[in-house]
Amino acid sequence: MSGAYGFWGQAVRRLRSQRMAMASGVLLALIMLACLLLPLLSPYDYFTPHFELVSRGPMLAGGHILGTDPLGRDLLVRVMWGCRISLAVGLAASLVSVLIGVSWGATAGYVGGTTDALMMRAVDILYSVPFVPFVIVLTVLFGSDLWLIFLAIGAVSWLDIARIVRGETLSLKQREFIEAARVSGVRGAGMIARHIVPNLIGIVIIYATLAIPTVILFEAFLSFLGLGVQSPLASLGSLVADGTSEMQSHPHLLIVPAAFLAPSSTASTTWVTGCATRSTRGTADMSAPPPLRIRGLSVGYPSDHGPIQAVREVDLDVAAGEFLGIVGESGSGKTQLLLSILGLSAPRAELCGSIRYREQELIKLEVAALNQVRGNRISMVFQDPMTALNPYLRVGRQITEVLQVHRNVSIREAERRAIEMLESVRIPDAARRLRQYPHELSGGMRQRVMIAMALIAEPEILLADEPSTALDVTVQAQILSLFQELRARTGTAIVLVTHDLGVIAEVADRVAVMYAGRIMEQAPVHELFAHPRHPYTEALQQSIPRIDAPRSTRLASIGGTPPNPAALPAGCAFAPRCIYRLPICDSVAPPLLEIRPEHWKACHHEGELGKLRGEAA
Amino acid sequence: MLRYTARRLLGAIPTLLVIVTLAFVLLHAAPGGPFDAGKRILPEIQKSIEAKYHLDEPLWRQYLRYLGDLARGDLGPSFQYRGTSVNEIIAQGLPVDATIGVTAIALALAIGGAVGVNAALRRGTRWDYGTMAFAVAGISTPVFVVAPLLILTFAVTLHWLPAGDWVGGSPSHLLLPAIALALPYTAYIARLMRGSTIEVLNSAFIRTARAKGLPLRLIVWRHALRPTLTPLVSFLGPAIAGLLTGSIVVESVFGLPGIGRHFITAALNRDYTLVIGITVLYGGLIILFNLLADLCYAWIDPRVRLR
Repeated sequence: MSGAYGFWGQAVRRLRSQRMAMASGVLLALIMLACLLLPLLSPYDYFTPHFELVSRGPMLAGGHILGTDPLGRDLLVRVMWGCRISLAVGLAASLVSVLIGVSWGATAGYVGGTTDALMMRAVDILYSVPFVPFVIVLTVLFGSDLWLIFLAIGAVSWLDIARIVRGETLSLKQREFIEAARVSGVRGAGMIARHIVPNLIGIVIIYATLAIPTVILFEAFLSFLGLGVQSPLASLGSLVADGTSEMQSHPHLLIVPAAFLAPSSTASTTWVTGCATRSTRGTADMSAPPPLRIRGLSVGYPSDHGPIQAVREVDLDVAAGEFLGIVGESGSGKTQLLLSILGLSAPRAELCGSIRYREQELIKLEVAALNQVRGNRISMVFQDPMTALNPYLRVGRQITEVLQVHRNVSIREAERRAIEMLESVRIPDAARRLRQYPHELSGGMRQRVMIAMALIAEPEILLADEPSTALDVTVQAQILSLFQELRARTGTAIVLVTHDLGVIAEVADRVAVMYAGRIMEQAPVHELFAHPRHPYTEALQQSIPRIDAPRSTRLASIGGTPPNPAALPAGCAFAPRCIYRLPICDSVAPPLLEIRPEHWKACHHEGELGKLRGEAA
Repeated sequence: MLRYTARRLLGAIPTLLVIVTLAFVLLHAAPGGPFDAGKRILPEIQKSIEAKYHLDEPLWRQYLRYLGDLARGDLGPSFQYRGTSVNEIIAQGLPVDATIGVTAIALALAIGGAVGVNAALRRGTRWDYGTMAFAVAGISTPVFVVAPLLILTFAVTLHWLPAGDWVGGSPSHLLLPAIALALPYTAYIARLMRGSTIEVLNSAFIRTARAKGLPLRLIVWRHALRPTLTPLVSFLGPAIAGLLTGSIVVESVFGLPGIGRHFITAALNRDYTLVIGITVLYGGLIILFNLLADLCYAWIDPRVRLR
């Protein structure tokens, strides 16, 4: 039963976050209460005709607030009764469909094999059966008793439930407690009834609730055609039908039930979908750097727990043709930094500070002007080549459009250059690849396509966001050496973001280390590796596995966890995990200072490091 | 592609057979027959009529005879409209339903699509909330409520448009029924397009396109359009088939000479051939539009391979 609780727990939580659904639920409850109580409280009767009060408009006939029908009966009472009947049909028919659907689906899923295949094939065939005509035929041929309507509607609307229940049963079958019951000898129908069905209750209730409004509308549809509930009873559908035939002379007979039916069914749809859907939240985006001067850049996002600072007061330069590495754990803000450079941060992001590319301030640049830079002067390679290429377009088109937009060349010229470019990123048979779709290429191949796309306009700076993490190790190495080779040939500056210090050591000229949105240390690569001056850098370095270390040496890991970005400490963000921590570290964040030419660090600790190495040995 | 289509069409045969059999059994299990409902006919005449329509044969033979005729595309003679075949009745009524259906779908696509995409592009604004409120109301308000209210407003009260009739499909007579039929679809498409547009615009490949510096026009038309359309296509197949349900109501409210209005009277009069004929037609259309939707899907999305 924990499954059922989980479902309702989630449903309640979702409802709380959706005011529309909540309001609809309240409205529905009021309507239900009214249709239960009003007929009891009203002095007017449901059946008895009053021929002296035929078809009076609202307020024209004494206490008949909404007027009377062609037989002089109070319209409000009629509508409330109609509502009761619709509700009863909705509940009963949903129950019928749940009974059929659950037993069908649970049996198929539990028995499996040929039986399952046959039963699900039957469901597939029934999906193509035009069930509306069948229900019409059923009600026409066998009369319109209420119970028959329940059965007929229920009998045609169980297909979805059967499918879902079968799927759930298949997965339940794998679980331990079912195995345990099987071992203790429970079999067949007993197993389905006692162990499988109770665990399906949560999902079945959700789908049955979803079905109720549909079923009510279907009954209303039948009644409207005169095939549902018969006089003197009335459902909402037959009341609308009666009103339609009288609308020329007495429009209130149509308007009253219609005005009742439309909002209540709207409310029930809203409420039901509110229960069943998750609220969607936009995902965070990122931003990036260019010969490029970044000063005091902060990127923040509003959140329920106050603003989150993904990037905090970053100063960074990218020199022409250099290979800059940015390292940090996931969540350190390195990707956000890259995305902000090209204005690709999420719409909610708040950027302050300055990103200057040559003479242009990129922050607050209009999109049209920014597009002159994007893909042209500064381009970007994303982390996951599986999702970053458009699956609907041929690879060739995705590469050539960059040239067509930025260089205004002919399609033939663009294709010629694209083939050259693909060859230079070592894609064999380039002319044929141009005609293929992304899904026809391997992961490494797709990342090469991304790189070719990023470089085809010969940009001054290439931003690469973990370009090799989604690929396997041998391909990673190939992609990295490709970067080095391309830089040597084209003179494009490369900014490579990664969490892997080992990668940086091999390819970069200069390294910036990020932690909790700030740059902690920045130095030429040899300097940084030979003489790290920041405790965090040292800790990162110690956590790289070394093939030449004695086998007795344990791999160091950094104790503690990165700070919650919504609740950063007042002082140094690394202080809680730092083994060199001083009293001042908790209250004052150290500034980024140049301690030697080209070597910057943000740390209060002035002495030598090396404590960590001593401990690990 | 051709082989796939052929296989799907062949696969439809058992489904159609199930539909025919269900309808046949249901009708013959019902009390009453086409020629005995309170009409005073001499027994000999009734016999000769039943012999003429082969109703005196054993049921299995009637069933096989019907299947044989169906295989040749002959749906048999109608019992209630003497001297008219079911094929003729369908041939007369289908163009009416098709005209209204196509107009309604076109309206729904144009308006629903534009409104939905617009709401996605202006997410979180009043326009967006207004669109979504309209969508939920439109989806859950049934055709049989909308249609009479439209007549009451635009025909009875304002006298702008005629309240019904067909008149050879004149546009002014077509408008109200088409709007009534289109409304729920417009609302649904608006909601669908808003959702899929938001999803696609948030996807990684659109970010790549922006990073390449493409103008908005190219991003929308070349990169975002097709992925946005895929959920629409899978909705439209079953939806077009579902239009038939709506058209039964619309025909009866507006008094149009389509197929749907025959259906109920045919069932009431035990017009076996007409009921089965129309049911088979509906079933065939559902199968056909589902197949078309799958073909479209494969045409739009290069990753989908039809096997």
